[in-house]
Amino acid sequence: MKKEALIRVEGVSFAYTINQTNIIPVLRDVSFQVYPGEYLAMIGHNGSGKSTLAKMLNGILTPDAGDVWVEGLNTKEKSLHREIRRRVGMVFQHPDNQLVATIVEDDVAFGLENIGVPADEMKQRVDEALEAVGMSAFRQRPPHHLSGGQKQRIAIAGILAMKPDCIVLDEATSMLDSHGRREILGVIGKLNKAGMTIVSVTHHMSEAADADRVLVMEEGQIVLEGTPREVFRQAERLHALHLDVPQASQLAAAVNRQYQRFRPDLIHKDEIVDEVERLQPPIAEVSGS
Amino acid sequence: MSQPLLQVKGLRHTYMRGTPLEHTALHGVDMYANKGECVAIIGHTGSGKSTLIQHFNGLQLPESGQVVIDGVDLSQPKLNVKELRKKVGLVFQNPEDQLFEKLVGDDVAYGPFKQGLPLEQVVEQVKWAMELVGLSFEEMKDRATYALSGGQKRKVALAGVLALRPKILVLDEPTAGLDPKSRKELLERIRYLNRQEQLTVIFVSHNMEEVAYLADRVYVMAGGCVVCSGTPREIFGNRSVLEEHQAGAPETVEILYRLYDRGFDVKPDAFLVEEAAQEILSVLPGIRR
Repeated sequence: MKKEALIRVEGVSFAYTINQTNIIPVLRDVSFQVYPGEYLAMIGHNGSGKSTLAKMLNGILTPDAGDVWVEGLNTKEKSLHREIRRRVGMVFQHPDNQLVATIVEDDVAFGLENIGVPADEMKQRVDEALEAVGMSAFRQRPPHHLSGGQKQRIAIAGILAMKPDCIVLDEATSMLDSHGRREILGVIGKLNKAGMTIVSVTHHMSEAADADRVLVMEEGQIVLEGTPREVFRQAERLHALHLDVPQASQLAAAVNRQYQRFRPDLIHKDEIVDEVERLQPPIAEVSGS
Repeated sequence: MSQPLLQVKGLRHTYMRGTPLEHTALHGVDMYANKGECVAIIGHTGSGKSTLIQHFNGLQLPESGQVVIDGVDLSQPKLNVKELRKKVGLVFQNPEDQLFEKLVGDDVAYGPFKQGLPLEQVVEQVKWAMELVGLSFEEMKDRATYALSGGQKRKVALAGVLALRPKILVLDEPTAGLDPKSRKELLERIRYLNRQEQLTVIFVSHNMEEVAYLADRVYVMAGGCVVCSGTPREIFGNRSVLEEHQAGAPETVEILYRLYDRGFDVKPDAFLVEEAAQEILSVLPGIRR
């Protein structure tokens, strides 16, 4: 993926100031790039700096040192924030904290109203956005009666309506039940396939397994980077970083310990199933007999 | 068998009764928990789980039906709610949001202090509770609550409830939003409390790995009713219930079901990683069961 980067993070450091004597460094000289169309996951334990880093990507926070460039726009320029946030939208952890209107379609249109989009275009964009997240049937409903997963889909629709180039999800699934999570992951996967750049901060290792690339954060630095397979191969290193590997990987490793031909570096559920089939002798191809 | 410690019979609850927004959240729920048991309640958002557990310490009183806890019928007109809350400790979702004292020790001490216990006993109970959740009393009691990590704050909140020495601990989504390490630590603590300290634990969860790890028995709720109950093995082995109620299953179980669908002779209820690995090994060529 040697395209021009969509977001460039260059030598970013950041600290939260509690008072004159208490300054907590959160990011230390972090550099990385987000490329158009990629699905990037960021993992790390609580307090490793990943959420702070995510908030740097559209100027909610700005670096103490270093720069963040979004398509050539520096997030330090306050006057560019509107432009930057139109390009990079953010979905937060708590579904209830990000819905503002009393009717779903008004909520999705909120951002568009702020940037003065004409009414007929607004309607069309809202329609498309609700369609993309599968929530068209709910457009006249009050959002507070929806489930968590549905609320998060509305939040995503509000961002989609702005026609961004990138969506950043800051633990957007961590408060949802497994059904809600599957809804959101389905929407994310679909958007990414259609070309949307996704940056996802998550505690769920099986979610990170779906990404193209994984960044592992520890004490404000990126300590590991690679494809999910490369990253999850290092189970011991991840444990030392207070992280885990997906259950599918644990299972593959456990089988491999007793059966060397079974690949240990599998990360998806379906890969395990495929591997079992691959190892069957040719005659047993028609399995189950 | 003796009377269960907690027994619910035909419990109904209606929100906003007599208004156009009237909504029946519980339609005659039956359940029980024996002393020393660990019981999980699962089911997707809106199934009535939270309404149910709010009845356990008198936040909601039975509208019709019966809740009997340790011999006390919660329907009686002169219910001593204070006594009830000494018996049943309820830990809400995101309990760390409810810490309000500046110092960890003060926050944990708030409950026993308000019960009017002598200071020495308060200190003793606080110490006991903090050590139980894995917070060193000496080291942590004078730490500022705001400067703790999410996982630590949650432990403080849990200690605050345990300091009241309840007989039953009720937890709503105990590990939602925690990173893998904090999650594991907290689960180990809860398991210790249940298995070693004989504390009766009832918890609501969306995380099936957690249910598999902790629970002796599981209740599946849907639409305000208990639709199914059994051991984790029985529940995870009952695919139609899992699918119909979108309860989700541990990743291991999902993998085994996919293998089963392709005609492999595996037992899908083997939810522990090692067990699941044995199931997979049993269908690989050259290995006999």
